[in-house]
Amino acid sequence: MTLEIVLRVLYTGVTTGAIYAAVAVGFNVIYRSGRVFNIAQGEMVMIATFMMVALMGAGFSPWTALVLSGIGMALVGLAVERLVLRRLVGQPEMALFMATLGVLLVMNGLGHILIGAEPQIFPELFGRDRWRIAGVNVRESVLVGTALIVALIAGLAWFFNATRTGLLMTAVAESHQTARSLGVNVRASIAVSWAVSGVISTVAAAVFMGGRMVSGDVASIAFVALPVVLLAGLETIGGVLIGGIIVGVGQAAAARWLDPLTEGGASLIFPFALMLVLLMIRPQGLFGWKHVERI
Amino acid sequence: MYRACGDFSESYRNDMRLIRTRWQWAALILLAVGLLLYPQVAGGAWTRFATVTGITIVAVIGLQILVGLSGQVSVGQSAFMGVGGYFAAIAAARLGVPFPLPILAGAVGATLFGMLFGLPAARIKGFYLALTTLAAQFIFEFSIVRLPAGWFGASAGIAMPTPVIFGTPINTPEGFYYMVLPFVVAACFAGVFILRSRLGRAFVAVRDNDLAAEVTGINVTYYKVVSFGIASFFAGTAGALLAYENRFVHFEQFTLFESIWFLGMLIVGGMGSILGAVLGAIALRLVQELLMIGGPVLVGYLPGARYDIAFPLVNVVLGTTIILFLIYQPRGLAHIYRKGERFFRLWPFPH
Repeated sequence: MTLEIVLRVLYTGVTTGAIYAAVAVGFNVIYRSGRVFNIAQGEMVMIATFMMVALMGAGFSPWTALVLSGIGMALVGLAVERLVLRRLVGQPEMALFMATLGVLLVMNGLGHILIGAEPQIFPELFGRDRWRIAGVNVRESVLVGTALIVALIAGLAWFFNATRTGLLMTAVAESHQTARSLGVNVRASIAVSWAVSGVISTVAAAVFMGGRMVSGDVASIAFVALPVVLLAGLETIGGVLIGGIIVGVGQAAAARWLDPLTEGGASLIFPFALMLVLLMIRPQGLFGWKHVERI
Repeated sequence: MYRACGDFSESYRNDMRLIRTRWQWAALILLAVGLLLYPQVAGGAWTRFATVTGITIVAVIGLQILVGLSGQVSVGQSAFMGVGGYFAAIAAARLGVPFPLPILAGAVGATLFGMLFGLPAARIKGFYLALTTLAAQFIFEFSIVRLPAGWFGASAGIAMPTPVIFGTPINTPEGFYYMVLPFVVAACFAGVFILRSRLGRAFVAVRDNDLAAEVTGINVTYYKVVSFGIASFFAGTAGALLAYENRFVHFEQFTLFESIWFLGMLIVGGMGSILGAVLGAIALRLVQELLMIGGPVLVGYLPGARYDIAFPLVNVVLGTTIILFLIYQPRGLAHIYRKGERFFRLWPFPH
């Protein structure tokens, strides 16, 4: 049945796309409110994962663990802002980017030292039911997770586009100096965005890791989600959902129809190839801001 | 360069000289003798360390030209190095090309690959460009693993033959040291000359303000692509040398972490100077080596450590170093060196 196959591809594509979007929005929230590109986003997801594993291992219920590690990750984000970024406010974008490269190395190293190399099982948080709808195997946990992500991104998009605080934070992404001279608290904006991004990585971790074996290498999810970030544009919030679905469905389709011909390579390279082609046509991504430059 | 009172040029030729005073000549000769005698003094392990550091210096000088001079951040230098390594391995092991030529093959192959990833520079700027180089890293890794084993050896890698120079096979740490040394020296001089040439000045103009550069008649896209090409040429040479030194190429030698470490070396060493690239590469490789020696010892004292913590420890220390340098000394070791030089020129007088 071709229809069945198409539905299956769509289901896989949309659900993976939602996870990519959840990781990607972590990048964008930080960029949108501080002009910092946080390459250590994957490490945040890794830390969130193991925080939840540890909390659930200590006997907390999944939802309590989710909330507690959300708070914990917000604190981690605040710590990064306090220790590193606060001292670099007003520096060129590239210096901030390099600083997050340093953060990536530190978090990755500490994570590996603290959790060891053995993979651990991450329990399924959002129910274990499985249904068969129109020939597609649907898992309850995935559906709940996707709904959670969509709600989260919609909420963030509303916050950044329609509230006063959100718009003030957006001003920081335009220019630290201008924002400061107009009375926007740049430090607070960056701090809030890192805390929010910590919470987002907790949600992304909870949805993505459910039922998987996890080790320190889960951090690489961020690099897989990177094409989504660039495809959608660095400054958009709601757009990552669309970007995520495009990449997710495209990848699922490549996995179904092209992988048998290429020994599994097509679905891995597809997101990067799509990103490169799209950036050649629209350098700022689908929903990114077009900057007018002056000499 | 800082020049003492009374040391002035009387002709343009004199003004352009790299080495001006007798003491500079003396220091250079001393350095050369020191480099030549090093393997006789140091043991096998430290000679091997010096060889790997030398190869790193070649790659980092390339990255310095791309990042420090032209201002294009690349997170794919290690992938370009890998491409060089694989080209060299195919030339040497499959086609049986004699010794120095596979290195050229690696360098040229990497240059083409690098220019391909520099091409988006025609349209893309800043971060987006930096992150497309990340795509180079992934495309490199996925292609090696997924393509048929007959092409790039897939996950098994390709074994390198022993290099033979004038009938002498090179298979000792000392031999590899002397094999790599000329390439390192050549890379340093090439770097310095590029910095002082028309090309280097164009790169700096593009870095400082690409719109202003475009308006003054510099073809920005051309120079961006060329700087990607040059960086990859250096990386390819380094990759080919590493392939010879390890007697083997494998994609896990060329990871994203290596790329990040190369950038860290630039930050620690100092952006925009060849001296910075050299100092940064030596400093971070030294830290890494010491941790690799000290890590297993440390594990014995830590009660909770379940396995070898040397590698993650390297990441923690390097990451912290990068952050501290960015905050407290953004101009790097090269700047500290210059300050020291100036201080001792006047010492013990204050002015």
